[in-house]
Order: sequence, then C-alpha cells, then structure tokens
Amino acid sequence: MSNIRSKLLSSIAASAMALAASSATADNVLRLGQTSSLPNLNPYVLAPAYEPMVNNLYDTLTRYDANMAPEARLAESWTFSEDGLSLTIKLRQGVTFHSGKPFTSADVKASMDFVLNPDNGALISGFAKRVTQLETPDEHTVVMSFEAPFPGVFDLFELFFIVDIETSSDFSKDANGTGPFKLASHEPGTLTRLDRNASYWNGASSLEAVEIITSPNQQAALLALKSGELDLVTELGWIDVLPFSRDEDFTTGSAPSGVAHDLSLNLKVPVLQNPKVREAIDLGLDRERIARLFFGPEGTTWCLPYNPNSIAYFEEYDNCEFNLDKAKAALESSGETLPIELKILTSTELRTEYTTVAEILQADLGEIGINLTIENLDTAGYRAAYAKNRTYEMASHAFGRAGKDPSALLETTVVFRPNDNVTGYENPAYVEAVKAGGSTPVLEERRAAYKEVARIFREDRFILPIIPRIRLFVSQNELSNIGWSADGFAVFEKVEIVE
Amino acid sequence: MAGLQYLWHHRGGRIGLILISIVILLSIFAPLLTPYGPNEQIRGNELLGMSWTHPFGTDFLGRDIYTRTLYGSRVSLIAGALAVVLGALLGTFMGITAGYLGGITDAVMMRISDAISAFPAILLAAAVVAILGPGFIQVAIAIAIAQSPLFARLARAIALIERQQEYVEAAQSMGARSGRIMMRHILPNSMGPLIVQASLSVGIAILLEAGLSFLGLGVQPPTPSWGQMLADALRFIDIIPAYAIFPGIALTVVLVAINLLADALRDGLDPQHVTSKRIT
Repeated sequence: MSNIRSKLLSSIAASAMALAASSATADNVLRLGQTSSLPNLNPYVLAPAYEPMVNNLYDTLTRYDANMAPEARLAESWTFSEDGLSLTIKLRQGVTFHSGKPFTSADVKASMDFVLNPDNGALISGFAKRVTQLETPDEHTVVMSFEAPFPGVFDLFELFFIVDIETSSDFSKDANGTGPFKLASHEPGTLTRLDRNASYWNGASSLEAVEIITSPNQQAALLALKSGELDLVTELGWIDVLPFSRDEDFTTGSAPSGVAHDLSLNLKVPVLQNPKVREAIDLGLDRERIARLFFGPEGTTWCLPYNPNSIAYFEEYDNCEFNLDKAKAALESSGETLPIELKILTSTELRTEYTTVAEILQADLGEIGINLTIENLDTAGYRAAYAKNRTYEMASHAFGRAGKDPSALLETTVVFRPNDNVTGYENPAYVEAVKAGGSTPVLEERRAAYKEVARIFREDRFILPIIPRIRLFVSQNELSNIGWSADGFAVFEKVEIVE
Repeated sequence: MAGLQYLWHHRGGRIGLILISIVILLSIFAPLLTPYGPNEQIRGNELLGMSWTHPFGTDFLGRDIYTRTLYGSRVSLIAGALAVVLGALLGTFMGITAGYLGGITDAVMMRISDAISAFPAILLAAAVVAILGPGFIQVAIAIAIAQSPLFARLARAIALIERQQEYVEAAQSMGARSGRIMMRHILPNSMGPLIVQASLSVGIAILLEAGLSFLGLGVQPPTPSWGQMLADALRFIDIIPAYAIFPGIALTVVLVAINLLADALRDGLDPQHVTSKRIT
C-alpha cells in the first residue's frame, strides 16, 4: 500500500514539475487556450477558432494600425489611379514562404484565384469579387482593377491572407505562409504548434513558439491559466475577467473584436412582415442590460451596426430605446392577433451569449404579448437554419466585419448584403444606397449614401444590432506586446516574455 | 401499501422515503413556496448573494436561485422516472423475448444489448441526444436507451429460469401463445428484481440527466434543471458560491434518498439478496 502511495506521490510531483516546466517563462513558448477546436489551417474560413492562427502563420498585403490607417505588410507601397478604378501595389522584396520559396506577385494572384473559386468557400469571396481583374506585370508588382472605386479595399486586404497555394492545397496538415511563425504540428481538437520563423522579413519573433491549445470549456482554460499551464485566454466575459483583474500575477485587457451581436428577423415569416411587430420587438430589446451583462462597465450598445467614429454613423439614427409600454402599444396597433407565437434560433454551442440574449428577449417580449420559444441547435444545425436553409424566424446572431469600412459590412455579410441577405429584406432604395456608398472615394458622397442606409435600418428594422463585442483577455504578467488586428485577431509577432 | 409499510420499517428505507417525499412535495407545491416564477428575471438584481428576499441569491439574469432549484426538481424527478420507465419497458421486452424464445432471437437481442452497454452511459446518451437534438423527451429517450441493457440482461436471466418451470410448461401444453406466456406468466414473476433494478436506475438516470444538462445537451433554457444550473454557476462560483452549492446539494439529497430506497427495496424484494443474507 505504501509502495502504491509513494508511486502516486512521485507521479503527482513529476506532473507538477512538468507543468511548471511547461509555463511560458520556462521555455519561451506562448500557450493560448481556446474552447473552439481548430479543424484545419485554412485562413479563409475565419471562424472564431481560426483567429489566433491566421495573422501568425500568414501575412496580408496591408494591416490596419491603431488609427485604422493601412500599414504596409507584404505590400510595400500602393497607388490608386486617378479615377479610383485601379490600384497598383509594389510588393516587399526578399520575403520567403516558410518552405523557403520566394514570395512573388504570382502568389498574390494564386491566393486571389483560390479565394474567388466558389468551391473553396472563402468567407471573403463576395467582397473579393469587387476585384474584377488582377494583373502581375512583374514579380513584385500587382495591379488590381475594379468596376467602380473600391474604398473598402483595405478591409479586404485585412482578411486576404497570402498563401503558397501549391503547397497548401490540403489545409488539414499543410500551411505555407510568410508569417512570423511556421507550422510545426497540427492535431485538430487538441494542439496546434507554431515555431518561430527565423527568416521572417520583419525580424524573427523573440518567442520560441506559440501553442494553440483546445480547452474543453472556458472555465477549464481559466483554471489552466491560474495554474500557469496557459499564458493567455481570450474571448472572455467581464465576469470571467473580474477575479483576474484583482490578481497582480495577471494582466487583463480588451481589444476590438470586429464582431457585434444582432437580432435577425426573417421577413418571410408573415407576422414579421408587419413593421409594427418589428418596431415592438426593437422596443422590447434591452440593449443596455445585455451590454452590462456581457461586458460590465466596458459594454456599449449599438442601434446602427457601426462605431460612432464610422463614416456611416449618424447620431440622429442612433435612436433606439428599451420601452415595454411603447412596445406593447406598437404591438397592439399592429392589427395582429395576440399573443404572437415565434421561435428564436440560438446555439449555446456556437456562443453561450446567443442563448442569453434569447432568454432576456423571451422574458421581455413575453410581457408585451410575444411568446418566444427558444430553439437551441448545435453549430451545424444553427448554420443550416440561419444561413443555408433560412428556416429560422428570429435569430440571436453575431456578425463580423463590424467597425471597419461600412462597405465591407454592407456588401458582403449575409446579414446586410442588399441582395440575397438572410432576412429576406428587399428594397431597391437600400440596394442603391449601399452601392453608392461603396463605389465612390468622395467622403461627402459616401456620407450621403450611408445616411440613407441608416435611415432605412431604423425605419425598416429588419436587422437589429445589439452590442459590439469587445475581446476581453487575461494573460500572465510576463507577457507583453500582444498585438490585435482590427478584427481582434491576435498577433504574436512582437510578444515578449519578461521574467 | 404493504410495500410502504416495509420501507417504513427499514431504517434506510424510512430515511429515503422521507427525503424523497419532501423533494416530491417541494416540486409539486413549488408555486406556493416562492413568490417568483422559475424564469422570472428581476432587472437589476443579477448575481445577488443570499438574503431574506432571495435565500439562495440570484443568477446572472436576476432569477431567484431558490425558485429555480425548487422547479429544477421537477425536471430531475420526471426525467429520471420517465427514462427508467422507457428503459425498463425496452430492456424487459428485449430480455424476456430473448430468454424465452432463445436461438437466433436471443443472439440478436443480446448482441444489440451488448453493443449498447459497450459504451459508457453518458457517452451513449450524449450521442443519442446529438442525433435526436437536445430537449426533455430526447434526454429521457437517450437515457432509456443507455439503461435498457441492464433490464434486458436481468429479464433474460429470469426468463431463462422461468421458462423451465412447470407452470410455463402447463401453459404451453394448453396451447397458450408465446406472447401470452411471456406477458401473463413470466413477466409477473420477474417483477421483483426488475423493480429493484428500476429503483437503482432512477438515481443513475437523474445523474445522467444532470450530466447532459451540464453539457448543454439536456433540458433547454430557460427551463431550470440542476445540471444546467451547475454549468451556469461555474462562471460565477467565485462571486456567488450558493449558485452552485444549492443545486448540488439538491442533487445529492435526491440521489442519496433514491439509493437508500433502492437498497431497502432490494433487501425486501430481491430473492437472491434475501437468500444470500440468510446464508451469511
């Protein structure tokens, strides 16, 4: 018995030592924990699980800096033609892929062709179609042509990762980019290890490696962070961050996430075609409470799908309110038979917060005569019901590309695009306004077009923005210089571990 | 009534009976025992600690945890009982049919049963829920499928013995059909051990339901269930420990009560157990 006990104790001690040795400070490896599994290394999928990987394995032509100005990356310089219909890009020379192959304009073209091929399911394909032609006059020059001026082109570049397509056709195990880290190993659902790219064009990272570790749930990740097994956990709620903010061993912070919650209304459902019913739902949506619940004092609300500093933001249309009395009055004047029975689609598996929004809405709308049934599906079921088959009635949802150029958001997301959006909303005026705002570089013209879009949003209420997400994170104190892209994707290039 | 009297005179059975009766009464009379609805959100009262107004505090949506714990017992008890009834029906049918008919029927039924029992119950139940989708009935079906082999093996063993008894031979010689013999003769003689197994399985079923709800596969929000409350509480355990403690205690009390009852029933109804006790 004592023999067994001593063996057990020594194994525990050995495990503890192994654990201690695995902390970042010991081996200069950054370990990030995330709950979503990274199934492959395709940078164009852009699901949450891919976010810590994309900017570290791959590079983009440009990346927005903190002031949302495009910063040169693989593109060294760029010039628009006078009519705004073409963009000439001079590429950085001396850059090589992880395989050692030199980076040239042919790789930009190959990556663009890959994105545009509908079989590859790239999320940015709709946006990339604005590039009508891509020419490569020499190895270090790319000329892109557009049908109309394309002011949102840098938004496209932000997500247009350059890949050596020839050697990365199977993203399940290959990833040949030019990023600051190169692929060392990839075990889907468990661990992805990226080693330092010693010949990185912007200087090799001081980190030895980055490990993206799949945790069974957020609490397990936070416990691993507390024990020193992980160095960084992102995508947290403020309540998760709260205990760490009082602990001097940890650093807490926030970054924009490029994602915002919304309530999507399917206008193919007869009762939702009634504008008064939509108005009642809008008035019954307690944005303040949701913001406070998810992000505490840092939470803010959105009535329009933009930040107040966006060119598409207009204060006069940022006019939503939570008022159940008005909501009830609107519903009673709708002419519909009460109570109205509706289903709200959610997926706890995809985002816990979707269900929280649904629960809040269910309680509030129940008071005014709308009975919501929560339909909580798994990720695949949710996506099928929302985007593919569009069989949902109302959906608790979140959209990306929030907080950048409005043309990217309005023209490409399934929620907002003027034609064939998931809500079934059709309005020639909306089509025209979105097109006008995204096809001119002249600021006043764009503002005028987006003012019309804002008016339509608030009058027709087919999509109800709720709150922008912020990326709350906790890291070990030793970690510094974590970078974040405009979409809130982690950038580990300049991260340092200081003892 | 005689059964209740027996349980009352059994020390463990009495404790189990009292505890489970309290839980059942609390679940039935829950609306009278709390001024709040189980899904009622009190704006501005999120994550409150224990107080006279909210004895167990409030959850992240401002719902009274005491109220939700009370109502959560309904889900646990009904899901547990329903799952066991379904599992017992399925398993007993498979077991008696296999044991009485024998041959290829026996082989096929028992291989199906073996295949089901090859997987851990929670894993199998999770897989079934993944196919059927989350929800109260789906969870009960999933747990029933996971538990059916227990009943199938037991019923088959009894049927193998009973089919050789003279009363079965007599029924056969009088021309009774197999279905009638199984239903009217073998089944009633198998009830004692099956009831004991059912009582043991209720506890396991309640635990499985809580496990599935904890994983988000069980009863769907906003319906309160203890497993789901425990899962929600994980995020807030540093701030409101009561959020996890009370649903946890409730679950423990019910499981202890059911196990005490099951032990008492086994002592009284399982002939093998009674015999072995006499021998020792």
